[in-house]
Amino acid sequence: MRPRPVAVAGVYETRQAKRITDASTTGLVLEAFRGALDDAGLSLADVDGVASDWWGPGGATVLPSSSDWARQLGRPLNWISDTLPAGPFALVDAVAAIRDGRCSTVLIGGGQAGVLPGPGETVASYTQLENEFIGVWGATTPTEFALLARRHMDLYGTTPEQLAEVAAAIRNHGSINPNAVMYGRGPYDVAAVLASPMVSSPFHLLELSLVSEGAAAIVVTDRIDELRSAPVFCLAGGSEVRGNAYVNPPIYEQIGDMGEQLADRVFARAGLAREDIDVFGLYDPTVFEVIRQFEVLGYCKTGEGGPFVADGRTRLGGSHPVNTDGGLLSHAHLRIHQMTQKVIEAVQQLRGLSGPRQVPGARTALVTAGGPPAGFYSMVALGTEAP
Amino acid sequence: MSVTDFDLATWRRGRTLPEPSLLSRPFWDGLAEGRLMVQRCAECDQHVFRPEEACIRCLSTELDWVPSSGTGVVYAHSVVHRAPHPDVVVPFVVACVEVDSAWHLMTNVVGCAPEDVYGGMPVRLRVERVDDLHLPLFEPDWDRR
Repeated sequence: MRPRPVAVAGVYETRQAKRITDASTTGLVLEAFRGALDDAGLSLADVDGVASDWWGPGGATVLPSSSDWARQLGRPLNWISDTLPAGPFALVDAVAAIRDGRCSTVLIGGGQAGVLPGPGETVASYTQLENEFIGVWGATTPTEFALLARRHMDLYGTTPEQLAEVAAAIRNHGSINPNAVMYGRGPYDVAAVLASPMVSSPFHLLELSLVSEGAAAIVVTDRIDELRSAPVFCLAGGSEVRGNAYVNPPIYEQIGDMGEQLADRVFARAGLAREDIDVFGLYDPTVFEVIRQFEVLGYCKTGEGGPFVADGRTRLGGSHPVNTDGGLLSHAHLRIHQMTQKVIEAVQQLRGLSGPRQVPGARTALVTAGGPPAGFYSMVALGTEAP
Repeated sequence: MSVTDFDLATWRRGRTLPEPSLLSRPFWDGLAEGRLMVQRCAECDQHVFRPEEACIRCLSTELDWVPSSGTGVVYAHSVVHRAPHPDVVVPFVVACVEVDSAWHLMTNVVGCAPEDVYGGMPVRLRVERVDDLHLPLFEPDWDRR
């Protein structure tokens, strides 16, 4: 029996900005939920599953905080996420729940507003590392990724120019995305990236993720025949965890292969070859993660990720366009809900709605989230045809 | 490469100090005596750091605290120019140090210019006392260069 077709049916992003102080997180997330349902042609009355967090009155309680939305939405929910309630993690689980008949229409989304510090204050709280054996050394999340990148450079000769090429490619995509926080900035070349201030070597400012505010949501459903917009189907996905985000020394030989065996499983289940992917939405908290992922995803051999990206193939018009919305470097980073934003850009590409950023004829996309220091990784393959 | 001065008061600005737990107490107590202690599995010899209740290879709960040599090499490092808190004085070097070719810890390498630190560089323990805590910083091991 063919699996029940389940699709991403609606997507929505609010305005994205470095700080949003005239709206609440809950208010923005509600806007995103309503917008995604409207895009799908569905209504709140259709929703019977949620993957999100709860920022509203009363705070999160004993159950995963997706459950707290049931009261706000005024209706019982038959499914809530009990993993990371965002992006590929939640999407893959929601698809399974819908196929299982536990629910029919799921909202996945979240965001943040009024929580980030202003210029000159501390860095965002969630980039600080407070563990007993990490915090005192002054490491932030960029430093954790930097230690892996440095080891990769020492082992394989990966160069600063190769790292910078990833930043130039992704930031130039954001430069032409009107909803990107850094819209209109750039274009950049490798030299401009390398001329930006060093933050945590080998990473310069332009090679690191933003922190930003806003909200984003998607709707997942099996009500394929009732939709207003073109559905985008989940072909296969899954996750891999190594535990203990940001509390152990990040040792490349121990965690640098994260995602390798997962990728084999996902491609096999999706019935796709590596070459079949038209658009890549790769986790890009730093430029090194993109290089590392092309290795573990099976696009080049271990250690060859630097030369792989150096020819510009990750740019629009190249053979492996990456993060066509500008990614975390230029578009936005809504903490864990940046994962949902990567799904949104993939959906828009597969619908052919990405305007000047459109990859012509895109039919398949790969979206990933999470990296080795964080201890979790997830991916989903999306396509225009039902599996 | 040459020795540079290290000023603890400057280093300390804006830093959040660790809070030892019952499990990690032997690590911090060892530093007070100038020794870098680590857990080692009595069953399979695996070194375990950070401290755990059971071995991360064989799950044995027979973990002994043993002293290390206090010397190692820089496994990987990053020169930090943007600190978690504006009071922290930059630049400084965050490094993962490989101790006794067996286990890794994160630390700061001090006592030389940040740009002089490199992968594979020999380093040695340099304990610095801050309040009631003794912290495991590292410095170039001039004798092994």
